[in-house]
Amino acid sequence: MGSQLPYGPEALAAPAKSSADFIAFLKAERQRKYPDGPAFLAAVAAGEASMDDIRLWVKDLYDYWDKGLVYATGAVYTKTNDEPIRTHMLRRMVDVEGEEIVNDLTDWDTPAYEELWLRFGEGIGLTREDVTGFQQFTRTYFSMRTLMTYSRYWDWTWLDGVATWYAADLQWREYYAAARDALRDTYGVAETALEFFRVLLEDVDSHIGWEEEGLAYWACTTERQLTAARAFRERLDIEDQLLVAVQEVRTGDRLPFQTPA
Amino acid sequence: MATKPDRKALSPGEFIELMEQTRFEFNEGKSPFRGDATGGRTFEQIAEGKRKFHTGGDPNHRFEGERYLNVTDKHIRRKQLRKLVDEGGQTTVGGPMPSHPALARWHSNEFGVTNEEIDQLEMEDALPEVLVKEGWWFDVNRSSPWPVAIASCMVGEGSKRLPGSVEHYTKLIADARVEFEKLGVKNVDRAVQLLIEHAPFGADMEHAQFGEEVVRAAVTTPELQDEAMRAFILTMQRNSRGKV
Repeated sequence: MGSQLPYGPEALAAPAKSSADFIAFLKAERQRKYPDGPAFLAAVAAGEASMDDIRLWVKDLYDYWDKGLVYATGAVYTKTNDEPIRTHMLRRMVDVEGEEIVNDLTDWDTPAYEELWLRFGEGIGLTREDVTGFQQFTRTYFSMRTLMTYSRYWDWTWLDGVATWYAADLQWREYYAAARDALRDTYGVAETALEFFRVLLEDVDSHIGWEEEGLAYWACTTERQLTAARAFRERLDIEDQLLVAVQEVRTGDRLPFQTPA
Repeated sequence: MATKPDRKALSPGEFIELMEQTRFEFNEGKSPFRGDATGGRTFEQIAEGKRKFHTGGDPNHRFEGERYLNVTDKHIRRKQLRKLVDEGGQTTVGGPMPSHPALARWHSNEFGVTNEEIDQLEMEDALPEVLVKEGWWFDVNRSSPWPVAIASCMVGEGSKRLPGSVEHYTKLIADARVEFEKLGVKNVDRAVQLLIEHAPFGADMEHAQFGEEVVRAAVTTPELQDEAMRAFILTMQRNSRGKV
């Protein structure tokens, strides 16, 4: 819950949707709110963004992969008391922080998302210092911090948190896949520089199933469905807001504020 | 106005020595290891103890998660995540060992407490004393600077570094095996697996060393050392049955 009035007796008197209807409702909400996805990713997919735009995107989103997503993922994990779901969440934390963390158990050597994102940047001509030294656009920073604090505190329950992961995964599966294809086919970025996308999309595919199952089982009352759906929409908003500033630079609408050094 | 003279932090070695001296005095010469007073209980008494343990749910992910969230040093944070995998289940990543909550269930199952009963118990209100002990424990891990939160593991896991711990836990587990067999436990291996995980030859030894590493590297100012010592003492008090 953000700042909204609580749901009252009339709203809560409506019967809960069936599991299947609730999942279908979430998907419909996504289509209703963002039928074309974030404008910046659409521009990349269409080959309309310049390489400088794409380099700016890499610089601006680094903190999201390095800090925002790490924290938000751990925050939802920490307040999840259902062990089967928590186990999936722990697996996801390993994905985000790098499978190499459990190399002693698995021989896996995939690094963290933030490292893969840096390698993507290097693959398109940036240095690590270009990326890590960038002062994030303020709109992007606000979006990231909103995700972190809503995931951490009472604004989202653990189940709301699952709904937000589901929202992000649905967006990434569609729009990051399209961006990856364009980067390879239209922009000529080497496959080796696109490992971030391969890893992210494989991870997304491994998580969407349990997220749907978890939401279908646990969002079993009207109130849970209402709050989970709101959190789902809020995450869609956050994912979109994360890319507003780079889109504004690309279209020349305005030069957004950046965070102070 | 008089000003306090600048205090200097103890060296890491001095501070750890002070922690151990404090532990020794707190325990009044008794063993610092867990499970020292177990044994001699009936099958039903053990089952009842397990039911109490499960009532109100398992707290492990909450305090370990709080520690993870608060760490600002990426290297330490990822080590804390590796610890979360040990305690939240190596099976998560295809490893051999289930989570500690799952191992706790194994133990309970062998004493006739079913998973269905455990599910019910985990949905119940925590016992009032447990509520406030665990509430403080979550708070100290949530609200303290991360070096202090992680240093608080020096009470439990950290005790596994002490001389005699390997011998103690080896005997504890061997005795438990004998006792459980006498009590008619069908699968003794499952019943003792959590004890093994908490022994200094299970995952806990690495966790103990990690705790000491954090104390040495990050509990390095007078203020942090004061706060870590306070958390250390309060944690020992929390763990003392019937004394808080």
